[in-house]
Amino acid sequence: MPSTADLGAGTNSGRASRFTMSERNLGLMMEIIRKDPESYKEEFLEQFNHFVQTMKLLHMQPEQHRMELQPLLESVTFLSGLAKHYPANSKQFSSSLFSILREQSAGLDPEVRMAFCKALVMLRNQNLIDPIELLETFFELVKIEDKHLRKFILASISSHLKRLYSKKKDNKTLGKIQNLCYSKMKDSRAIVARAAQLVCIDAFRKRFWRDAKTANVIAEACFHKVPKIQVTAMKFFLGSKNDEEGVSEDESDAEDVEDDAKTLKEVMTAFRHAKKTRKRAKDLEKTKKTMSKKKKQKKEGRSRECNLMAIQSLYDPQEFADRLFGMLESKKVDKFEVRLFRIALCARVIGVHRLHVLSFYSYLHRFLQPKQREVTRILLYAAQACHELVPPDTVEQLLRVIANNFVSDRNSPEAMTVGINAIREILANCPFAATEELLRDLAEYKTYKNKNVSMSARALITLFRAVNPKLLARKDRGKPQGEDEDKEFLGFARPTIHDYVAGAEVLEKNRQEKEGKEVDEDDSDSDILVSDVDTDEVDTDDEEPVAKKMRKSEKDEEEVEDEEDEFEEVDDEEEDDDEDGWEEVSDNDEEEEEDEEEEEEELEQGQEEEEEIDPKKKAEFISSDRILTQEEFKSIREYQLKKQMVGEKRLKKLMGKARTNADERILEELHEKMEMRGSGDGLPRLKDIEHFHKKKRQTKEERMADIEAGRDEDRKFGRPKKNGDHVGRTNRELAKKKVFNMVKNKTEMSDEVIDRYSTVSSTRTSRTFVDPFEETQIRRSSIIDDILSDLRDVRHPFETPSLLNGRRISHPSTPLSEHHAISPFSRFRPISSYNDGSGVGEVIDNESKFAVKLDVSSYKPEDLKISIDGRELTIEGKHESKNEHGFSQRSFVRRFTLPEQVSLTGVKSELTSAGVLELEAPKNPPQVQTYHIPITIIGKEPETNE
Amino acid sequence: MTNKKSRKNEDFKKVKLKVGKKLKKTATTDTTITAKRVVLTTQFEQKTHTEEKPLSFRGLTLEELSKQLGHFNTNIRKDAIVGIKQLLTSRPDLISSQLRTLIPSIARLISDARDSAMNGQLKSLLKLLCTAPSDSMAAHITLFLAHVFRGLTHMELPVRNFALSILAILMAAYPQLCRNNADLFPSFVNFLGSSRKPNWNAPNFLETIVSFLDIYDVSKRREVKPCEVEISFDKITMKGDFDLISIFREENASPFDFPVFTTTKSASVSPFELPTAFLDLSKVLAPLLTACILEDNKGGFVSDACKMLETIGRAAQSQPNAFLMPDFKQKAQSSMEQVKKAVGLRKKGSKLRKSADWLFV
Repeated sequence: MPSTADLGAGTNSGRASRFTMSERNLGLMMEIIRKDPESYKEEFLEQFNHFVQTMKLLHMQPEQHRMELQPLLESVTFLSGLAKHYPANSKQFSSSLFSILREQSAGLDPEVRMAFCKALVMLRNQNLIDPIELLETFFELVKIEDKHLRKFILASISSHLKRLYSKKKDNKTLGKIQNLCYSKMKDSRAIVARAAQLVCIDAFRKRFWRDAKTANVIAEACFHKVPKIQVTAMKFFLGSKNDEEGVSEDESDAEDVEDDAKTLKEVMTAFRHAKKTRKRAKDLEKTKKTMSKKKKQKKEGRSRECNLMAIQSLYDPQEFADRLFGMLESKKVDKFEVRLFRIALCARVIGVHRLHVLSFYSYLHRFLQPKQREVTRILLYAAQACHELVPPDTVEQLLRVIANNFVSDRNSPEAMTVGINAIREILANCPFAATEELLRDLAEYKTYKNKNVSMSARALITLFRAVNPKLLARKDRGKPQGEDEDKEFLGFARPTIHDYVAGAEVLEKNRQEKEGKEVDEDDSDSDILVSDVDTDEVDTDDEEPVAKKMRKSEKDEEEVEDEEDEFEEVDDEEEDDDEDGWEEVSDNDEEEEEDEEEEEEELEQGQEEEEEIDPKKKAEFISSDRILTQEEFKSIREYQLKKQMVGEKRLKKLMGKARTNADERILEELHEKMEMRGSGDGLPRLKDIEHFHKKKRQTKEERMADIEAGRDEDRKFGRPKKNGDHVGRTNRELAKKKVFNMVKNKTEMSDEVIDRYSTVSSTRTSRTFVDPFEETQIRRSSIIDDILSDLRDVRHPFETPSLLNGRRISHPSTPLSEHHAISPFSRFRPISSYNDGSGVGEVIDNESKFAVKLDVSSYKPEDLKISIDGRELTIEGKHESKNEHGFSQRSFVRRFTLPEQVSLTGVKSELTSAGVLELEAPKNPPQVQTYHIPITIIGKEPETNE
Repeated sequence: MTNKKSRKNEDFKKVKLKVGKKLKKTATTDTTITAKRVVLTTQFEQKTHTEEKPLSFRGLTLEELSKQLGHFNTNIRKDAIVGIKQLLTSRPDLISSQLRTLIPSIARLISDARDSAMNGQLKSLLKLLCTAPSDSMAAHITLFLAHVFRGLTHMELPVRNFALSILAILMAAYPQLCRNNADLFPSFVNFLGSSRKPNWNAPNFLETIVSFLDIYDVSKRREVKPCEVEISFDKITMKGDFDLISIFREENASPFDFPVFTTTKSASVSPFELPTAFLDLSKVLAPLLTACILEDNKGGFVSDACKMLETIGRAAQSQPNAFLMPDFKQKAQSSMEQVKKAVGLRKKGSKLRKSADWLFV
């Protein structure tokens, strides 16, 4: 192959072989060479020589023109990609890179420098260079002020460690790198030391180097001369701020699970291929944000789990704390933030390891002022530094300072709340420091007008009810809980002597005996179990999670118990005793209150009592009699748990209605806190100190439920239920919403109209003849008619509706009346309906004849037209006249339905000279017997009809 | 509606008091300024033609023109070249004093000389630069040559050829300085050995090689002045009658170009005096010469070929360090084996035959 290349190049003929094409495209060339590195060696060497020459130039003149950067970057990627095929050249390549980075790194273009570093990382990943040498170079490069490079270096070291740790499991190299980093931490150049520190911290968090040695090296950095390195080290031990504040991110975790399905990459590609709209861009930004947030959370979570471990693995915590405190006390004035970190770490170490740094507490006194910056944090640190082994008088002083500075009427309620909360936290850790005087003073605040203050005082009282009620005023102690009376609360550093294993009374007196009666005993045991479970289930289900929690906490405590000293045991013992107290209460209650329990249960209860004639004695007997096995301890534990559960439930019932919601919440919080103590480092959190009692914000469901409950009360007092659609509207308003066809008739039959036609309802049938189409026609002309008729009214003032036979007859059978009823003016006008436009109209309908009289004086005979269609008699008149003023037209139509008896052939018409048209039709005698149908008319003035 | 309401209440917001937190003062103005950089715009200065800062026809100073040499627009670059040339021809005294700014900016252009029109201008400018006296050029020749060598290894042929022509100019102008450069010999041999060199009959190619050989020609070198020095490394003393300056000093070089102190290799050893270097060269030259002898029908290149053969022959025969490599002579002969054959094949090659006499011994 080189021969062709030779030809093409030598002759400069520009023949387009693939290689000559790739001459300027290094990427393509790389691809070709990678397939057959042997035969393309010459091409590689060409590039390599050029690179070597460029390097020589760079040594002389590190800064380059920007147009030369791109080719250089390309050739670096080219060479680093192919280096593994040419090992001899790769060595020269890497050494030239090393030398240029060592000598000229500061002068190089940032991009070029980065490209060189990337090439070296690539070579390292292919095992072509020594990782230690690279690391050394990297630590040198950190000096350069290039943020991206520093970031890249740290990231590449981290990823290398990950590779070594998880894929290769190369502990030897890991150890070497670790030692290198340790030595670099002592480097005189601050930035190098900081980089090494960051590497160590990162590796510790990601488990690559999670060991005591790393933790101690980082701890050493707390005393570095550069404050920034100190702060980073201290932050590492302290963990995230969220952790300190006690904010949990559990709520957001649930969402995360759903979103995890879509990665950022997917979202990005989706955006790239979709139409670009502003909304989509916004959405993309949003998702990006949430994703980065998630990442951050993950990181924080990781740091939380490891900072405690780091503190625990300190070699000499006492000396560490002393040195830290020494720095605090030294005359050198650091920034307040730095000092705060130092105080925090000091307190944390003291709290976790239970150290004695006695002057620390008095050092804190100067900061404990309500106006002090970040005073809540300082209070928190004070609380964290207090543990059981601190002498009570030291803590007492501290408490007094807090009480004096914060809890007085001249302070704001917020300050008082914070102060009382802090005191509560301290006392929860070391209850021996409490004095009766102080506690009673503070308890007075339970009736303080500010809710926050009173609630925090109550929380303090609740705590001491559990810890040492004797210090409280008698009224604050709560209901006497049986055993508590004679229980002795221990003082500071007074050891407890156990006469017996608490709860041993559940075990059988004699193991042999038990084996002998195996069947019976087992039965009874299981029965007890059932009964206990039943009592649980009687209550609401809400309690079950609580119970579970308690179980967990207990287990945790027991685990802790093994590790820690006897003082811890003292506490546990006390708690156990409390539980006993509750249990006893519960027993009493069972007799008094619980009628709902089934007979069977009561029977068993009886059995139980039989056994518990003197539980203490029995327990004493059993525990002194033999060595308890693991299973026996287990059963004791189970029994105690059950007792506790039952006891709590009883307690709640006992307090019943007298207790407010707030009280319940305080109790819950106390339990939660006890639980918290068992897990993690067991130190208080900021949210405990800054705790303000607020009504919990209700969710919408809760609010709706409240409203519903209120409605029930309404019903109780007999108010009518009004929650239909119609509530609060008048009928008129409602009618507007109805379909027109439904209300049409109602508007037509407005009161007046009904009134007017009620008498002639018998002839109403005629209305059926008018089909809707016609009706609309009429309606259209009606307005004109009305106007005309008004004019005519003026012309014939004497024309009045005539009454026929003393009855008001308006022709119900005529469509005229119909259209007047519809016409909008009809109700407001005097009645002239049936004679308008045609003078007097009379209808005579008796036994002998049917006659109609119409005044048609204004019409000429030829304008009139009379026709009979079936039984319908129609009289029409139409007149048109033209003069110089304009054009006028008038017309009328009358329709009559002829009665059955009328013979159609006998109809005669006459027109008198006065202009009255008379129509007369004789009637045949009625063949059918007439009958009367009584008509009831609905209206205002029902008129009787004959 | 709510928006409006909130805006209304903006001034009367209740400030939440928190323990341990300072209240923000509402009536103060934050006067801190954060800016990434402050850019001071300079006034347009009236440029005047002075003795120190002459202006080109277009009213640009030398510095501005040098800056424009790096402009991404080809036309502006070209104009800048022309401008500099004009300026320097009018004021030749500037060349030697301004080399420090001129060399980096102009030599840089060698490796992106793809445009033939610009190449001519650039070449004449470089020629102009090469009129500077060698003692002033001595400080810059390394950088200059580094640029040229970089051009010689460039991927694109026109660039290579251009770099070669520049190298020829440099070798002609500063033979002494070129010889002192350590990189010249290996990179030129490398260039001759690569497959992407110009054809043997390309214009000026053979002449360049001849001038290259001339630089290192042993016979032209100054005679060696032996002096005895006794150096004891234990006591760190030197005994003997010697003058260090006279040993290391070049005849025409400036007194500051002191080879021991400069990065360049001492001129005392020519590559021709090293057997391995010589063999490399002869290996590379052999195919070139063969092609030249066989294909040169018109005889235009005979004289160059003869010169080359003679120089190589002289170097081979009077190799002072031949003892470093056993059977050096044989190897030298064998490396030129194909040339020997070619000369034998050539019919009217009396002149060639004469210069290649040493091969037929």
